[in-house]
Amino acid sequence: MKNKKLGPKISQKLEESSIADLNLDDQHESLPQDKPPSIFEQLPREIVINILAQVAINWPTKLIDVILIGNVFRFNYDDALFWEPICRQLYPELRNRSKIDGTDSLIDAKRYGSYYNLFKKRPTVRTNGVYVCTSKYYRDGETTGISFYRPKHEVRYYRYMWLREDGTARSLLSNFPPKRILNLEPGVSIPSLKDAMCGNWSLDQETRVLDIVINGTERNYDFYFSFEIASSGGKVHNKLKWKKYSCIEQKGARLETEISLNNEGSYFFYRLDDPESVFKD
Amino acid sequence: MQETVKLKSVDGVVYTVDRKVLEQSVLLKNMMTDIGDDISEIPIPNVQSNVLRKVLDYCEHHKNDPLNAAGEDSSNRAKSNEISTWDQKYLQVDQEMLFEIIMTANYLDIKSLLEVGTRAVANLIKNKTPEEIRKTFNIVNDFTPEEEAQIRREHEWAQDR
Repeated sequence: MKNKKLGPKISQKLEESSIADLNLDDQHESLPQDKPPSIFEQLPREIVINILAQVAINWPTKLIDVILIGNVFRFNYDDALFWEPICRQLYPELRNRSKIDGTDSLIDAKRYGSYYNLFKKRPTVRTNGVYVCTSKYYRDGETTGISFYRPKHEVRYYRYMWLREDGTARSLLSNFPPKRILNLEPGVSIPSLKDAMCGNWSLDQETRVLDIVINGTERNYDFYFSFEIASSGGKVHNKLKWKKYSCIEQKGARLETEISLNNEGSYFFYRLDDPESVFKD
Repeated sequence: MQETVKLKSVDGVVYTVDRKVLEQSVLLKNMMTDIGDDISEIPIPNVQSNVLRKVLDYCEHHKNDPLNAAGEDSSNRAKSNEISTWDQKYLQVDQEMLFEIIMTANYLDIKSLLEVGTRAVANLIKNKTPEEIRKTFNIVNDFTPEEEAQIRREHEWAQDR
């Protein structure tokens, strides 16, 4: 068929340079070489998800980086294959219960329905890091020059709480900010924290209430902290909301004195590779 | 009851193995229970002899591990990223063999080997940058920016600081 728009001469030239003239070898060389499929594409889905669960358990902050490598690592966010090993690691008490029940499932179907829901909704204490509370108050400063007004100084201090798997707790009050105490700034030395006080914690799953008793120095007083476990900022069980703070006299009448919470913010969780180093003697 | 059972790999090599060793595999244990003494030779399709030999070495070494016997709850070991010295040495194989071991452990339902194998791969991954992982495993980054944002939202829980 002639190409009328191009005119007879040009269309004739186009027809002369037919397909037969094309150099197929050159064309082939210019095509991208086929890569062999990734080994992860050949693995059964449950194995890929198992590998991701291992990453999540041991190096959670690496998880998103790994998933974002490619679609081969993507899975439904609520996939039980992913969440079951995580829940089994997170809730040792449920593992024992499921054995007694004769079921192998950790899920209380009526309450949670799925491993994902179990992880999101069942309150738990985080032991692989430290909870930090920022507290502040204002005090008057001295007037200077001709000003009539006294300046206000904001005073900040921090509470650090480490809850260990064995039910013991360490508490520290310090004016050093988290970046220094938790050694989040490379090259900054950690201050000595020999003064962290010891105690114990217990969690009521029904009420979500976490009680912590910290033994004061010289054991004259015990400090009683009561919190509700909450979630914040898309993270899970990372917040301790104050319910009550008091000290109890250990000698004599064991009087309990409630302490004001006006200056106290909630505790927020910081994951650490080695919480022990923060509270080292 | 026979004390040993023969396993035949896909390339025709036959291994004679103690029953107790094979009980590490839930699949083989169930087969031996169901068939009883009539069992003479179990074909293992899709598993090459060198891989089968390697997997049997693992089962031999761990035959007395109590938790492994019936492939029961292995969650006590789930948390730790530690792999025992013997297992570490055992898994010092090339990448292809490592994945073959994992796939065989999955097929034969040997939970402890599957777990230790996947953990070894997880270890391999965590020490590499995303670009290195793509290069090592021939993976193409095929996410759209929208998908990336969605994944970041879905797994926000994993970022605590």
